[in-house]
Order: sequence, then structure tokens, then C-alpha cells
Amino acid sequence: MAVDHAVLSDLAAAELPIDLLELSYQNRLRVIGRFIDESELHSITLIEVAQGFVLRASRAVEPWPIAIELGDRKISELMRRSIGARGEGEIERESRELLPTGYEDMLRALGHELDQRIAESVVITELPSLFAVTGFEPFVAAGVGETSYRPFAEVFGPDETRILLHKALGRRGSYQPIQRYIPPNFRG
Amino acid sequence: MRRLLDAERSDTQISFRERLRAIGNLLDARGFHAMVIAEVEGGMLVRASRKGSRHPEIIEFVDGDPLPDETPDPRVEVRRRLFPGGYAPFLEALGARLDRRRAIAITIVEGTDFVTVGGFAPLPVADGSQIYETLDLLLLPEDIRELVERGVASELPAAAGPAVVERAPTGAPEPAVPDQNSLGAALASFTRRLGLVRPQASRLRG
Repeated sequence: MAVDHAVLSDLAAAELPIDLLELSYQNRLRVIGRFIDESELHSITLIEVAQGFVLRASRAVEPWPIAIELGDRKISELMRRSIGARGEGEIERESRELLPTGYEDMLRALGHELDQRIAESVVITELPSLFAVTGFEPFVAAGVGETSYRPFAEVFGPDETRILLHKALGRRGSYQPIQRYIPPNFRG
Repeated sequence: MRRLLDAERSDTQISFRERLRAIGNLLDARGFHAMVIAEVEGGMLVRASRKGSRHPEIIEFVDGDPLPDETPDPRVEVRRRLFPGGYAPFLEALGARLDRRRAIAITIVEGTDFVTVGGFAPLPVADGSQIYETLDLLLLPEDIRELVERGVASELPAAAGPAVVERAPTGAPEPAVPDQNSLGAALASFTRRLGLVRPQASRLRG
């Protein structure tokens, strides 16, 4: 998993665990979620593109969405800001049934699930009653033995998001390194 | 990407029906799959992957640019489980429905066995203020099939609508009249089926 060396010294100074450096979905989506919370955006669609994401979201009282490029450099900057803001207290977040604790927690939890799937090229779109998550995941075709990729899609309504957030809360403070995917044809 | 992100919104747009049909034809002609369409100020952002690839491409459709005019080669068969007839018939029918609702800021995301449609549509209000309903549509395979089979004709008003629609100026909207065929009605059916919560109308710009 790639790390951003630009924030290494910040982490060392703050005596924070090195896993915060990983450019995992969990870490990237968490800081994007924080950015959304801070910017008071809603109705998001987050589209992964080469070297980053495009965030399309609406502002508080304006339906027309804005599109923001969140390239890897911008995400690293958000990670650095997030690390710097630790201990400064919680930011105000709007609470809704689908997002009881805001976007940061929700996207962090979704990011963990995506890391577990070794997902790629994901899209997260929010509707009033659900989050839909699509992307590609590796699989081994039966009888072929070679790793290939297939599209996947999940829908998270209020019940599923509650479960997701509950699981994420249970993981807090217990670092579990992301299991790296080793295609079967690379196993010794 | 830069062109679209720098573009400004134009209040007169080609209808969703026309734009989405053109996008569908392009996606069909080039054999794309895993479609995502997001309307932003200034145009449409489309992400899709080519056949056999998991690496998506971004295609921008900037307002004011001529629509693409690509016709799928009928000899080339692109198998898509959700869209056996291709993207174009589905997107055109959906576009006609979105035009009818005077929708804005739409998103269309294709999953493996569903399509989500988001965005906003004006609601009729007595005091003339602007209230938008948030669209919250989860189309399952049978819904997609039904939409395509019913086609565009069933979505058009009695007097055929123009190809160019005027967007309601913000602050002085013409009220939309909900009907049984509206996205809201369809949504109620889908949300009931899935046990999901009915969306709340969002009050935007009083």
C-alpha cells in the first residue's frame, strides 16, 4: 500500500500510528468525508478517476452541484490537515437517518469495506434513502485459475449504514493492516 | 476535465432526452460499460469503461458543444445484462421522464443489477417559493425493462414537447404537476419494495 511521505513527519511529530499514512480507501475517503462535512455539502457523488476523485455535491441551499477535483496531492493535503486537527474537537455535522454522524464516519466505514474487497475504480453515490457503491473487484474464474476483475455494486440503506457504522466504531483503536491481495498465480 | 470544471451553467439546455440519447449512442458505439453520468454546472460528466477493461475513462459533455453523433454498429454485439437493447433506448426514455419532471442536477449510476437516479425536481407550492424534491430512484431490472418497453412516447405530454427545454429560473419556478407516472410515484413503489425510507422534500432557496 502506497504511503505519502509528505505527511510522515507530521505523523511522527504527533506520535500517531503509521497506518494513517496508507493511501487506502479508508484513509482517503475519511478525509474526503471530513472535507464534505466541513464544507457543508450534501447529495454527493464521488467518482474515482486516474490519480484521485471527482466530487460532485450540492451546497446547503443550492441544488446545482459543484464538481471538485480531489487529486492525490489534494487528498494528501487533506490528510495532513486532518492529522493537524486531531485533538481540536469535533466539527459540527448534520445528522440524518442515513448519516447519523456525518460523511467522515460513513465514508471511512465504506472505505474499509472497499479495502477489504481490494476494490478499484469505485463510485459512491448518495440518494436520500441510500448510498450506492459500485466498482471493480478481483476474482478467480472457476477452472481458469487466473485473476480477473468483475464489477460489483452494493446498496446501503439506513439499516445497512447503521450496521456499517457500528462495525467501524468497534474497529476504532484497533489497527488492522489491510490484507494485501495476492493473486493465486503469484502464490509460491 | 478542466473544460467542464471551468464551464458555467447555461439556463437553456437541450432536453435530457436528446442529451442522454446522444450519450447512450456514444457509449453503445464505443462498447462502454459501467456507466456513470453526473450533471454538473456546465455540462455532463460521464465515466465508463471499455469492454474488457476495468480502467474507466472520463468523457465530458460541455453545454453549448454539439452533441456527439455516433451510431452503434448493429453488427457489433455488446452484451449488457441490464440493457440488452443498449444504453440509448433506456437513457432516452429516462431522459424524457426527467424532462417531464423538469429535473435538474441529475446523476445516473449503473450497478450490476440496478441503476440509481438522483437529482432534484421542483414541487408545486402555493406561496410561489422554490421547493425541490430530491429524486431517489432505484431502478431494478424489471423497472428498466418496463421503462424501455414503454418508450419515450409514454413520457411525452399530450402536446409534443420541444427538443429544447427552458429551465425554470431560480426563484420564479413554474410549478410541476405530479402525476401517477412521475418519478415520485415510481419511487414510492421502489422504496416500498425495498423497505427504504421515502425521501423528504428539500426546501431550497425560499
